[in-house]
Amino acid sequence: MDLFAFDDLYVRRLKEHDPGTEAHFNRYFRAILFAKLHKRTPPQDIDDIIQDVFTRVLARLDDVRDGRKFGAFVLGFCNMILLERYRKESRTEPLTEAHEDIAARSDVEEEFFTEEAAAGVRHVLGQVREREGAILRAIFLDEEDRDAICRRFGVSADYLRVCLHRAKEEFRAAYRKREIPFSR
Amino acid sequence: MEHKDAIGTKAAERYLLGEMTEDERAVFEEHYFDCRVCAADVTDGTRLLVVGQVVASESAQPSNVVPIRPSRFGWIPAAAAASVIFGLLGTGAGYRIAQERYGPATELVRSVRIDTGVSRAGGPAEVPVVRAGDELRFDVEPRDEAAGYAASVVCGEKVQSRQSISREMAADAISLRLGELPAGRCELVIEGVRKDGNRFPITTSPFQVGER
Repeated sequence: MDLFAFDDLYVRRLKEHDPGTEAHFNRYFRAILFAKLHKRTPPQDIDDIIQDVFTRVLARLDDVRDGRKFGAFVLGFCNMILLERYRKESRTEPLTEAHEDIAARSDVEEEFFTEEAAAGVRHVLGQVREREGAILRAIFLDEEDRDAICRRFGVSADYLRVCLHRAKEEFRAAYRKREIPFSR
Repeated sequence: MEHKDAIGTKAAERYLLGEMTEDERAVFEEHYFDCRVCAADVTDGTRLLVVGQVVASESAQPSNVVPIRPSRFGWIPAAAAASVIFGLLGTGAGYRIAQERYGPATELVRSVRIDTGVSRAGGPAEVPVVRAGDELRFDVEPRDEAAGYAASVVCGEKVQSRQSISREMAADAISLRLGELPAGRCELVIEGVRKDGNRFPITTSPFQVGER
């Protein structure tokens, strides 16, 4: 992800359908909306929600009062859509087991699975010490809760955060090199 | 939330690890949607976790081959990276490695046939019941666009384990040895893996895990 700040000019370019700005909007918000929705929303719903957010945001660009707060503007639509869905689902019968698409992945999640990203993760796991690698694998596989991981490895919750932070920085350094920066 | 607060409280890491309350999450989201540094932190971290799950389950595979003798099941370390452990047996290199390490398969291993065409046919007539130590035997439907395949065991919403299958191995019937699985309904999901590493679904076959 490129380092970028929103402003009124960005919003104006979106209104004018500037292709570069639209491409950035799509790429940037797909990633951070996925980060928000991942593990908290059924995978098969994520693409629909993101698309819904995009449609509504682009239709209401005139309502943006401060371009610097454009991210919060997008987040507001996402939260509103989640609330609408929650209310709608709570009024209907739960799906039967046969209708669940358990293994489904969202398109955005599929986009995360690139050779470059996999190489970045392998790089991280190859760099860290054996014990830290085991802790990271336990976090990745998500097979037990964080407290259980701490107990198993005899570490504190803060150590787990530090471990993830280091891995994230290492991964970023390995992965970011291959990303194309957005230019205005 | 100010950016220095987000840094000081390791907010991105706590968010990624699912340690925040609903309120804390809402406050941090309001911040990171407009903070380029925290947004990058969260998205890079999410990418690391998402891709890391696949890489970790693949790299954990060699040490998780279940021994043939059932008496050894008890000492499979709880620290094994996947809660389900399956070894690739039956054909190809995986079979030969297992043979060398653990000796030939015995009649104690029960083989359960899984019809991988069931999802396309609209549902199986009978969902097979399996237990830890059983072998799942199935065929992979060949796809031209697949550089390889992946077989995943999914129980509930959790991918318990994933095994890579080469095109060559997929030409024959595949056997997966099951380790510990939660009792209940699970699915064997076969996906094609394109050259760029992206996956696409091929078949989904349900099975039932019985109590041991």
